[in-house]
Amino acid sequence: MRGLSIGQYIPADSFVHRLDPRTKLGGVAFLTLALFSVRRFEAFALIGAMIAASVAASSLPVRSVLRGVKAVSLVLAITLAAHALRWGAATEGAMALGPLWFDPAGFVRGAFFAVRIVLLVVGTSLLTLATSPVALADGLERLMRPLATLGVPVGDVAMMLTIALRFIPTTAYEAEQVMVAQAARGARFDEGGPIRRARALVPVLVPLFVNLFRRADELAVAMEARCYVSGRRRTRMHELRMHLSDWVVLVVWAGACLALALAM
Amino acid sequence: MILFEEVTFWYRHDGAPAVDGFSLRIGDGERVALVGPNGSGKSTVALLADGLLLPARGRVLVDGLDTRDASARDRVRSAVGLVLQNPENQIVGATVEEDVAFGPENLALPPDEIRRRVNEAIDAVGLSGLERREPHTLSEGQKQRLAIAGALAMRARHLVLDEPTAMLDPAGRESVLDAVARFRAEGGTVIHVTHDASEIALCERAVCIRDGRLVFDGASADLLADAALMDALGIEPSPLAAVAKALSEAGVSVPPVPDVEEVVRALWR
Amino acid sequence: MALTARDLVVTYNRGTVAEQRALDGVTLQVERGSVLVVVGVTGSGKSTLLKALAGIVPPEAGDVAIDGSPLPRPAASAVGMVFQNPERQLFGETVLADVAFGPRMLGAPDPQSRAMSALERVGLDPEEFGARSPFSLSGGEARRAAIAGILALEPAYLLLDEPTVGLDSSGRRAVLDVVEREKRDRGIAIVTHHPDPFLPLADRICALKEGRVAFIGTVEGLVRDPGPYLAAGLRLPELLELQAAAIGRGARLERVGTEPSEVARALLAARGTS
Repeated sequence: MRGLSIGQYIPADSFVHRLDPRTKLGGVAFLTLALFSVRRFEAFALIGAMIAASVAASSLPVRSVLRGVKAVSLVLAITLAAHALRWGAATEGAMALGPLWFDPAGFVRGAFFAVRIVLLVVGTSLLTLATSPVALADGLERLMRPLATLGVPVGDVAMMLTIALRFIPTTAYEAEQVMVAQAARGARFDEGGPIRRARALVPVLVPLFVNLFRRADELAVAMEARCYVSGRRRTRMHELRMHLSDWVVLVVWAGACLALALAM
Repeated sequence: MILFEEVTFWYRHDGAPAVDGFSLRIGDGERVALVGPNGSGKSTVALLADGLLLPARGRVLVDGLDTRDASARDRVRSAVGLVLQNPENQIVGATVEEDVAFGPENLALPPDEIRRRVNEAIDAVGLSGLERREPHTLSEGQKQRLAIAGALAMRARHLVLDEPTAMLDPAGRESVLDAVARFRAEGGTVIHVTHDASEIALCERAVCIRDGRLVFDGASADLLADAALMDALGIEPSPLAAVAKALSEAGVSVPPVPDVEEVVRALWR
Repeated sequence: MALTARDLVVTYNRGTVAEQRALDGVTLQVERGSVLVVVGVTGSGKSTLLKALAGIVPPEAGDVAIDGSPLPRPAASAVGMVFQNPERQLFGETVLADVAFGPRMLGAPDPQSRAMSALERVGLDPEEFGARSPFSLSGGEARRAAIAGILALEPAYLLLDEPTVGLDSSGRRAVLDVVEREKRDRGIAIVTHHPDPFLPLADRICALKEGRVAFIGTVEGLVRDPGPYLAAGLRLPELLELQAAAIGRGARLERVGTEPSEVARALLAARGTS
């Protein structure tokens, strides 16, 4: 667990990495819109090409971008099966497959949904692989900032998110330490059924939470000592700035997505 | 200058006060050891000095500003930097530079001013080159220096250190004490909570607190020479001081808190 | 009878860019009824050595033997390991329940009375502390309760990682008392950056450097020949530094002391003769 990386971010200095997180968040939003609007496979081919170009510009290893697809492979299989297989020979052209019937038209439909899932997963993977979690939190905060006028504590939520991200490795490390220490007292985490296993985690979870609360207490003191006041306006050393390249990418990408959504 | 005037503080209204009628005056540029057994109230004093706790009676003045005055709160907390015992629990930022920037960002300073302060502070504690590192990859000593940098970026004139070296290895401890000494050399005030005799010896003055009351305020050399008081305060005497005491009882003239060289010279001059 | 490490090699993250050899052929013994103090700069392999001795980290070469036979699995009832800041692992509803957790998990007979006796041995009266929540204890008390949780397993060997770090002088003294008492029945190894308070209890000192034993011997031997210890990047504890400096001055020390009064007497006697 020591080598655990936050989220799945892979640091690099590529064109995609350098884009403002808002550009990338917006890009994924338009991508989603297009994916759910188009009705033809040809549209997917074009969207696939756009994504492939982005992956190339991100200098990320293709394998890591496709890892997310592997994670949803079961969902893909179920989607295909649910559309392609029937209990009765209801439709024309269906073929017997043991007790089931294979429906080619359904298969094509299922494949359409499956491709949509694949493209969506690859697109969002690209976002999280090429954007640090902190930048993502910053981007979300900036996008949500108008909500602050409605009384939504946008700044506090963003700070919460940043601190949660910051403490993930610390907490994972501590969980590992506590597990090893309890194992040294004879605790077993890999024996028995699910209930016994869940109960075996009590000696890990209780100290972990007690320590987290203590940590939270001290952190609150340290934050106040450095003039943090909940809800007050802060500035940022790295102010997010939309550069010309961001606007160009966003306009071109959004235009393409909207055109596809309307035309296909 | 940090001034405590007859300060009393309760954590719970039905309990004994954590700090009781405590008065103290710490001048600019002093280095003061704040000493006392666990639970004596020394951490409470540390938080009172930073305006993080407010006195129930009496007042605390930081550079003339009353810590109870809400309009002066940012100035008080900027002027007094706080470093806690547990290195990990005071780091907010996801990277070294973002953590140092946290305070100035809270003051809503312009980005280029923040950038300048962050660079200066990181440089001052010797963490240059580690700006982009994630805090959990730092050594414990580096984390404590990061905490000091966070205070420097607020332009702190006084540092309150609450047992900052208790969890560190000797190398880490030395690097933190070096950073503190550098801060001191530039005119900063240091209030150092500790029960380590060698760290007390680094301060000219010692202030001792027990059950929330001031029980000693004087030269730290005098404290270190007083074995009974040290014991009552939970300070392990430095072994060399104990040797010196035994030697001087045997008629050898040796300083009360000597270093190795001084003992050897006293014996074989 | 001893806990023996022979030619231990441990490498972390083998086969990756982060590959790091933590132990590089360590051979040593912890004898029953004795205390071994292990020192070394951060990253020298001290904590890994303890984990290997406790069977927590499997060595890739070499072996660990307990009284001549291989470590049992689990090793907890033979080799007790107290991690750094062990009070952070307390979880039981009461101190007694927490201390009894280990013996209960290992199926020992009558875990309750084992827990009571363990609490007594760390100087926490079971009547007074047994029913309290572990989270209501002071730092020093919690540390001792956590040590009791390991003692309740009745291990023949006890391994302690920085047992006094972060404690004030009374807490430190209480832990030293536990070590002194348990030393009679067990073999004890202590890993620390601050060996000074353990010197009077230490039968031998071991200094690690880059995963190898740079020095192992008595305090006496260390003061007479501190070279290898210093070469491991370590500073002698003040009392030993003083005596080494006196010897360097030509003083003929009868024997090396580990307590201030003892050292003062030895120095005065040596002054008379030199």
